[in-house]
Amino acid sequence: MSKFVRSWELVGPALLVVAVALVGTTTSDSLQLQFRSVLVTASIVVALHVFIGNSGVISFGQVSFVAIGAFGAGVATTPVDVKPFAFPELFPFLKELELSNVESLLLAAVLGGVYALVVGVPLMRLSGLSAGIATFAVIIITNNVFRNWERIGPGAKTLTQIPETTSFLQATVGLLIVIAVAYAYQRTRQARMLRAAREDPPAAQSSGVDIYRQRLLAFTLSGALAGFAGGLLVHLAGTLTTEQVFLDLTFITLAMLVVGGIGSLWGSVLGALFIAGLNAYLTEAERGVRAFGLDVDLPSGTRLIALGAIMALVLLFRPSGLTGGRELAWPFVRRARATPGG
Amino acid sequence: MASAALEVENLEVRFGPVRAVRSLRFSLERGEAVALIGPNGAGKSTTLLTIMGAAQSQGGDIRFNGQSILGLAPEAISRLGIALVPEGRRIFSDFSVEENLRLGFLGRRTADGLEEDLAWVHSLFPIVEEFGSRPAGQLSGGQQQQLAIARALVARPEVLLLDEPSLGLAPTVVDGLFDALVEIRERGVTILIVEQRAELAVEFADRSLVMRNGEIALTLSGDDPFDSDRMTTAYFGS
Amino acid sequence: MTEFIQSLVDGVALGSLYALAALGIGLVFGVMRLVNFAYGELITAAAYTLLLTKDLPVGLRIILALAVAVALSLIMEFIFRPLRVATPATMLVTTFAISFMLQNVAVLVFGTRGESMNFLPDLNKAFEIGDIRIRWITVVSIVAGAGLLSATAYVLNRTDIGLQMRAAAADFRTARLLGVKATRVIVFAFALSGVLAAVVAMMLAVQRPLATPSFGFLVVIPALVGVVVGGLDRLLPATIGGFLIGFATVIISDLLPSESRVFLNSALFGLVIVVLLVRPNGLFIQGAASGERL
Repeated sequence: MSKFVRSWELVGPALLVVAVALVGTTTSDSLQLQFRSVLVTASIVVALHVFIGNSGVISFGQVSFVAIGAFGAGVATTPVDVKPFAFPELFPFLKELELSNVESLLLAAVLGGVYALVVGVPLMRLSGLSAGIATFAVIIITNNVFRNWERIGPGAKTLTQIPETTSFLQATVGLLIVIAVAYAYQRTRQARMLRAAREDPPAAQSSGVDIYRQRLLAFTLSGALAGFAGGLLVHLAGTLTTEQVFLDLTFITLAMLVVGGIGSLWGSVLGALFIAGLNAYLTEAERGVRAFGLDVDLPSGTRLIALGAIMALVLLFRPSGLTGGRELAWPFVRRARATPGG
Repeated sequence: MASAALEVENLEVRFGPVRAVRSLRFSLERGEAVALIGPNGAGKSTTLLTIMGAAQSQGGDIRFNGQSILGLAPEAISRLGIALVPEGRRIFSDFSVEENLRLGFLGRRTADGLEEDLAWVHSLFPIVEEFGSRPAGQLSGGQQQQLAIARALVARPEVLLLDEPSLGLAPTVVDGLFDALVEIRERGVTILIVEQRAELAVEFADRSLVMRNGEIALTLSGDDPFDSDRMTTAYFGS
Repeated sequence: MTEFIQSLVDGVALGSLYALAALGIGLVFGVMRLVNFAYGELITAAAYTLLLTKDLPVGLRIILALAVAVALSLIMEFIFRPLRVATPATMLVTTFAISFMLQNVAVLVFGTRGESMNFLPDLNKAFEIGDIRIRWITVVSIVAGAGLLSATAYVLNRTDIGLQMRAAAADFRTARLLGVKATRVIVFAFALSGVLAAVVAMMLAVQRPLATPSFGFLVVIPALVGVVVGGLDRLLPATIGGFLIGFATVIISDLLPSESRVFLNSALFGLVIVVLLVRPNGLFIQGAASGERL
């Protein structure tokens, strides 16, 4: 396949993202927040894909890295004069800290990556359901600690007074960066080895693939990207609670990944934009909005039910997700059919 | 004319691009014993599994006493009167011998004659009664094979399918098995047996079908002498 | 010393409840290889049934709770039929989606604030043996737990349908070849797990009188963890795993100094991680660290 055609796997999703962002800028103010939120959520989903898509191991814990990135960046950008009132218990060195927006995003990525490395060292030996439960334990512990340890953050209180610096531009550029990094990684030899291990572990091992090492690499990178997305998240509305980076977010992002189709970057972007877009539309519909020429006014709570139902339906009737796990292909190339049928 | 007990007509079974069974056709008369032999990968086991509804076919038909059974679920086909003794025996090792047998007769079409059939099975395979409450996993290979056949018989099948019963067993044990099979045939059960040990199967059966690459390459009737040249050609092609 | 015995007794009581939930999850997994995240919603549905029947006689309330849980479970069986051939990831997320959806139906209909079910509140009274105070509900939980576990064991080991269920769990394909009706066995497993869910709901309703949308979900998470820790593949280890999680929750909670009690979940799940690292296939099943089990 020519380089041009291959690059479509990156360009395609990127174009869709830009298109969505452009549409978003043209909508009403209240809808704009939803659109920006969609872009940030998509960053989280792509970060999930980097690990889950390439390794085939389901991790329920990635939102832990979003959390540490979010709280880290949030605490770091809270103005120093506000800190003693907002978080009286904070460690002294944290009280002195004040970073710029971009610095805080970098910090968020570093925090996410380091935490993922620490967690990954013991956990990457596990597979299947044990890995799922162990990573689930990580999110439970992370949430428990952030909720109750007031020396590193606001604890159960809401984190507020954060500068709202995640503009459309920042959200879009951020998502594009995450997609580019994910794409660059999945073209490396290391990622290919990991995918080989996903398909046939014994064969990969006997070919010399160090499954543990490759998983750890993907996990750490995924953690860094998730942390970065967390940094974007906290600056979205300027507030954050521990509940926002716990089970609901875990479920939603995982579902987006699966609905889009595990194993495909295009799938993660498509699933995220589709579900998040639907979510945003339904949120507005609950408030009674005039959109696309229709007057819609749904009782509150139907949004989540509709979302759950739609996700379940997609999975029941197309279990491999919207993309079937395949990358976006340049539609005008004739390709020899390797096997008959799908 | 009464319809054959089992008829396979133009059966097609594909796994992806591979045609495991190609336009296969043969039939079994009531009370016949037919052997299905041939090299590895010829599609013999696949044929048995497809008859039992455990594998999907992409074309053709399978008829039992004139009634099409293609597409029925395995449990439905089993209840109609066909039983399979699967490759590798597949007994439940953690269950007792008795429980294994009980599973067999829970799949029975009718409770009538259960006593009789049980008595007959016990006489054919005494170990089944002897080892009643022991875990089936403790039995030797040959004994497990006997249990697997007993389990199938307790359902009082009209047609008995056997997939490589001699696999991994010592010659004397295998002889015992085939003696039992002769008795089963005399009882009127129609038998289709897939076997690696061609000579044994050919000797036992009324007819032998040699399968290669998913289709029948040669048919031997009981009176044909065992001709190695013809067999080699059938197995490996000219 | 008395505190220790007190902890033990409470631990056994909570352990029995989680063991029942674990058994419910394990039964369905055994015949269908499906981890049903939405199992908690059966418990929640039973709880809301108790809420809605506040003015009815106790016997009727119990029957209705059982009926609702079993009915919902059978509906789930039907909905999950396409999942019989899906990957574990898809199964997990789909059942999670159903769980999520049902929880939000509850939010829509009943709101997020809990309402009191007023189910046998007198069982919260305690009696004393020496220095130990034991609540009646603790005794009932242990008895009900042990009773149901024995009853289920009896059904599985001594009845024909139980034999067929065990066969389907051990080797589904061969069981079908022997005439075991796949659908009948699966429906029965779902029905039985519905009964267990209703009992768990009733025992909990006495001690946690508020019916909330996440009532059952909060039980299913630890129970599921317990099932995996115990060993997903076999029913007995899975049930014991559920028991151990419940038991450990109480013991750890009582061992922690009171300022640290908020970190109960961290301690508990930290322990879970350690166990999984040492015994990835479950506490009671031998096996090396590598190899996918699902």
